Amino acid sequence: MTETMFGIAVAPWARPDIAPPPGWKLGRVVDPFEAFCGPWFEKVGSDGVKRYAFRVDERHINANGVCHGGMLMTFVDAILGVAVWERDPDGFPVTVGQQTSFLKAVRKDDLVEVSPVVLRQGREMIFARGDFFCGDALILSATSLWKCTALKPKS
Amino acid sequence: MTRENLPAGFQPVVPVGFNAYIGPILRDLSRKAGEAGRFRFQPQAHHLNAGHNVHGGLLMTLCDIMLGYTVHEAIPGKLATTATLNTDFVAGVREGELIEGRAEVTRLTRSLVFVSGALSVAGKPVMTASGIWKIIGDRKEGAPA
Repeated sequence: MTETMFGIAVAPWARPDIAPPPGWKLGRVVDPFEAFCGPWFEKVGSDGVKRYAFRVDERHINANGVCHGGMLMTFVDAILGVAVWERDPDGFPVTVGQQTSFLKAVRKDDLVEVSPVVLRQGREMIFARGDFFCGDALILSATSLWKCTALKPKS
Repeated sequence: MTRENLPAGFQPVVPVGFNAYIGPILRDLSRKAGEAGRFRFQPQAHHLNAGHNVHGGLLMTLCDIMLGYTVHEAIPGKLATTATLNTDFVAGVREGELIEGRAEVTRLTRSLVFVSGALSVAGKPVMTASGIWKIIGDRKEGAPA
C-alpha cells in the first residue's frame, strides 16, 4: 500500500543516505522537487512547537561556495507549505506570493531550522511566515501568501 | 539538452552546485548592450510538485539565478548577493513547457542593485520577481560571471 500524507502519495527522498541529526527524525514530502532537494528533518521542541530543518550539502551551494538562495527559497516554500496545509488538510493550497529576505550567508554543513507560523487563515487565503536560523543566528525571514484551491491530485 | 541542440546564442549558466543539480539553465550571450537578459529552462518530472505543476521553489530559483546574472553584468569585477527577493506566482507551469525569462536592472547605486524580471511560457507570464542585491566586494580572479 502506498504511504500517503494529506491524502497524497509520499515521494521518496533522492538521498535516503542522509541521516537526521541527533534528536531529529526524517520528514516526509509529497512534492517530487522537495524529495529531489531534501531530506528535511522534523521534531517537536521542548515548547511543544514543531520544528523543521535541512542540512546544507554540496548539491545546495552556489558559485560563491555558500548555500544557493534558490535552495533556501525552496525550503521556505516547502516548510511554510506544511504549516499552511495542516490548516486546510482537505484542500490544496498553492503559493501565490513569497517575500524572502536573506540576512546572512549559510555555509555547507550548516543546519537550517524553522518553526513556521500561520499569521491568518481566511476562507480563500492563508498568510504564513517563517524565521530561519542556523544555531542562534537569524539567516532568513520570509512571508508567503497561499490561495486555497480544490486541486488535490488523486493518489 | 545537448550542446548540439542549444538555441542560437544560448549557453548554460555556470554548472556549479545547485545550478548544476537542478539542470541546464540557458542564458542568451548574443544579446546587445541595453537589452534585457534572456534565459531558458525546460522543467522535467523531478522539478514538479504533487499537483503536477513546476514547484514554486524551482521557479524562485530560476528568478534568483536570472536576476543575479543580470546584476553581475551591471557591476563588472564586483560581487553582489541577494538581500531581498519578492516573487509572485502568476500561473502554473507543466512538465516540459519551455520557460523563458527576462530581467533588467532598474537602478544601480554604489552599494545596491535594484533588479526585476519575469518568467513566461508561450508569451504568458508565470512568475514576476523583483529584488535588491547588495554589492559586497570585488570578484575573485577567475570566478564565474
